[in-house]
Amino acid sequence: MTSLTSNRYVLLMDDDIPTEWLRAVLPLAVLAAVAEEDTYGYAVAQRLQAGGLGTVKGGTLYPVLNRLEADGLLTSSWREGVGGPGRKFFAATPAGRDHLARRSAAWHTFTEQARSLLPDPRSTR
Amino acid sequence: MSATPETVTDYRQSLVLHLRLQEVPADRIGEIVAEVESHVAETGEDPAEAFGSPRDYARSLTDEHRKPPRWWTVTTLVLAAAAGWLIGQGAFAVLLDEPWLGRSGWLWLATGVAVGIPPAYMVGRRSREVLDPRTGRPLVRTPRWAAFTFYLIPVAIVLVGWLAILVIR
Repeated sequence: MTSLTSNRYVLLMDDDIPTEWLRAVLPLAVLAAVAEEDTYGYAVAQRLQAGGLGTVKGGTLYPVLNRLEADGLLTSSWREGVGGPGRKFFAATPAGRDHLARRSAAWHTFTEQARSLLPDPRSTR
Repeated sequence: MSATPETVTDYRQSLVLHLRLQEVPADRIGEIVAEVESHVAETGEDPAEAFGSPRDYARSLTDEHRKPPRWWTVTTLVLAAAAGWLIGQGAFAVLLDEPWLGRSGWLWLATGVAVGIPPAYMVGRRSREVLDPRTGRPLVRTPRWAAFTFYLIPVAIVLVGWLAILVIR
């Protein structure tokens, strides 16, 4: 294993995120994307990628969306696409927005606490 | 690798089959398949590349849908077999115009139909047609002769047996 340099820290955003971390934050990140505006699966995937979470495959994304819907945090409806097949649009419910606010706050507290336990890579060299 | 209409159609058929095997309700199957197709229509990906093999994707959804317990399936099969047996015996008795076990063929037929109602309902619920939520049309075409053949086979067995008995006599 190479040593943790500041250069490597920057690269962490794309390549070195363990899937467990992704799995933990994905439902909340998906919920946040949908809460921002009603949107469909592919657009959510693009947002996650733009946000630095890498490529989230359909096989990972849709079960998360469906779970959120089953939990009453999202609703969905099919809308006609322009000249193409329909798109399934998702919208956050009031319970979803509430959940997002509470869990986001908890997530920030959690990551702050975890941060204090980990060595700061910028100060190691 | 990008998707061709054939790979999408093959994937659809295989995914419907594997979701059926996982006992996922028909309306959920429609949703799941339409999500896959709508997604790959946007990305141009091969469905297997984006969602994994139909078998694995269907299995990954099993914690979302619990399969009915095994005893449920066994009960359905036993009741269906008993109904088939009683209806067959009843039909033979009616056709040959002689009682079976001292009772009228019509009575056995009626008993068989009564025993067959619960399993027929259970099987019917599981085998409801899968509709595409985008269009409301069936997702997988079932040929008309399929249902016809399904009912024709047991009727044919009874008729052939009856004719055989008449010839032997």
